[in-house]
Amino acid sequence: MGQVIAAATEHGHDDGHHHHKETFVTKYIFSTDHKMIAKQYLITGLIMGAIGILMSVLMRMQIANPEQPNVIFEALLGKWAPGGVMDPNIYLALVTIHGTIMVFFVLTAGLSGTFSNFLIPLQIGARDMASGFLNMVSYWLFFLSSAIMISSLFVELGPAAAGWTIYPPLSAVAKAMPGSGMGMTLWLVSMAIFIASSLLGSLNYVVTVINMRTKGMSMTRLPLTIWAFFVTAIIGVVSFPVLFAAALLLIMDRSFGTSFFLSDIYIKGEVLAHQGGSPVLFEHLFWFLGHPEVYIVLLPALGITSEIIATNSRKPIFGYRAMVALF
Amino acid sequence: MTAFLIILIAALFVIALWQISKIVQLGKSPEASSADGEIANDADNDRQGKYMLYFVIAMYVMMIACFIGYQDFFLPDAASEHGAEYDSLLILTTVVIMIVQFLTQALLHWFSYKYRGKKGQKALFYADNDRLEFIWTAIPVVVLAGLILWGGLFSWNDIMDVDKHEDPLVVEVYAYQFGWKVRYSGVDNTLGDANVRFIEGSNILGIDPTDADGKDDMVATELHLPVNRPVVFNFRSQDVLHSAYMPHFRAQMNVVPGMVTKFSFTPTVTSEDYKSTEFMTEKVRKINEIRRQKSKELEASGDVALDPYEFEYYLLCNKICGASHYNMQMKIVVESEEDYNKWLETQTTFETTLANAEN
Repeated sequence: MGQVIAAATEHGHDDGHHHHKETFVTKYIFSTDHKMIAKQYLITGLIMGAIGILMSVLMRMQIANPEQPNVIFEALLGKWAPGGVMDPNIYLALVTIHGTIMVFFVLTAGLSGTFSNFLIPLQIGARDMASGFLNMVSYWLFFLSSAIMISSLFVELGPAAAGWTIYPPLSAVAKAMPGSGMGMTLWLVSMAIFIASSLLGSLNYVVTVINMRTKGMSMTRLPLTIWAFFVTAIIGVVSFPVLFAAALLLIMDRSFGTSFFLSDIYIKGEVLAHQGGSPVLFEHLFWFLGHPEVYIVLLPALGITSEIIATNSRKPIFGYRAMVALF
Repeated sequence: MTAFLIILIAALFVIALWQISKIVQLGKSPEASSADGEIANDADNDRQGKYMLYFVIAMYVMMIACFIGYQDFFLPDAASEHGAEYDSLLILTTVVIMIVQFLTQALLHWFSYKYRGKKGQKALFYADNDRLEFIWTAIPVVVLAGLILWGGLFSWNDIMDVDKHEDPLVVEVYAYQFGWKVRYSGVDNTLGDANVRFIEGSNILGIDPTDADGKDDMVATELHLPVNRPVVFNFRSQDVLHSAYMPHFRAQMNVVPGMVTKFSFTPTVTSEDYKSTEFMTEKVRKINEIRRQKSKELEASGDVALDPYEFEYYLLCNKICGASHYNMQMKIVVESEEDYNKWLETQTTFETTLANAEN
């Protein structure tokens, strides 16, 4: 496996040198080469993963010794751990941001972004992705949304803390908890950009697999890995826009006084004007993405393991057509 | 202990970094990696095959040890009528999953060991067998459909049907950041209309003062239920989403602002009887043993000792609702019809509350 990748990578570099001269910026930063973009996704995903892991360590330290002072909390969380005791709001914020980072930034973008970009052109015999430019935009939108998500950790009242499912009214009403102010706004902006990035990437994978296969590489000869990436991308294209809609409606409820998800709310001694909406609508919109999301996370891993086990046991895939049908 | 854990985490982090740095190795040419001993030989394959086997055995030992070691933390027997059905469904599903998991994981790891790489060994070319694939697709489909239909759907329809009871007690459970209130429907067994827009002064639940049904409603801070009488719960929330979770009765329902959600069950064991079950007395004894030791430490350092623990049914919030979500709970008391009626007489009706407020 490693040898194949190494050989292909070298081949790709040669191509580049023959055709045009690449500067440092076009080669390593604003690169349109699928292999470089895959590496960018990998590194960004790993950094986000490390941040997510650190958060889960903090959460478990709190659970192991609840409400006990801890020097590490004091050093890392500062004003959110007065005297070293973790504030309940920041615990919820850790739960929320950890969940968001792991589900979206690591398991969706980190996994599909890295492996789909790297392997699709190599395994179907294409020079590069269908649109190198869109691919680059997809990565940089992902980077931007990661940066916004991380920056939300540093706003005055803390990051979003309503759980990774951000159910309104908790996430919609700023008075309900400190994290539902600026932190939640940044969360929504970050996710909107993330979804744009994910859609550009997924469209690119779908188009590449359909149109750019080399001669003789029919759909029934595609490696299972590619089938998995292909189906994952289709699921992403179908389900992510619904989350985008939910996020937009939530932004409207929060900032422009609409009542899509809010009705009959009495909070901090006053009744809100919102009338006629339903939080259950948000739950449905969210889980229209949330359920397929488990397949977006699972399928690439299934495809990769099928191919690795088959290759290393020197055997063809058993029941290829049944596996494709399962995807 | 904490220091040890931190060192362990740091060590694992370094190992992870070192493993990641091996990616660089993949960039080397094939000749270079074979010279480094990067290509597996028979001895490597033999070792890795055995690791696979040891791994699966270790996993099963750990799993069984956890089941035995942590059985104190399992939920005790259900205290409601539908709870037994619910539990048997859970156990059935768990058993089916465990059998499949044992079989598939054992085979996966055993085959990895049995067919580990050997020089000169040829793999069998075997790409398709429609009959075999059909069998192992059809069996899970049938089993899953059975579990979902007979186990899941029918039980669901039965448990969620709140209109099936004759003469149920109608109770409203009201959630707010961060606590619960109960509203009893009084002699007419009908709850008065309510909306958060009526909240004013002592009318904390927003009961419509003009609705005659609401006059005899009673607001309480503890949920008292008579044993063996069906209860229909109407859930209402004042501010954000909450979830009313009554683990001992196997009941949970979302509490949604702007709408009324419903659930019903029949409590079958009184609080007193539940406390005196063997499981519970043993559990309480163990907890109090730990508390006694902790109290000694606390007293030695000049702190207040812990109170002994006593079991009660609780209603908990099970949906993140803000900073004090972790502490949002209400005591539930299940008692005999007589005790319940005696307790109910001590509660104030909404009419009296309003009259008192005017004076």
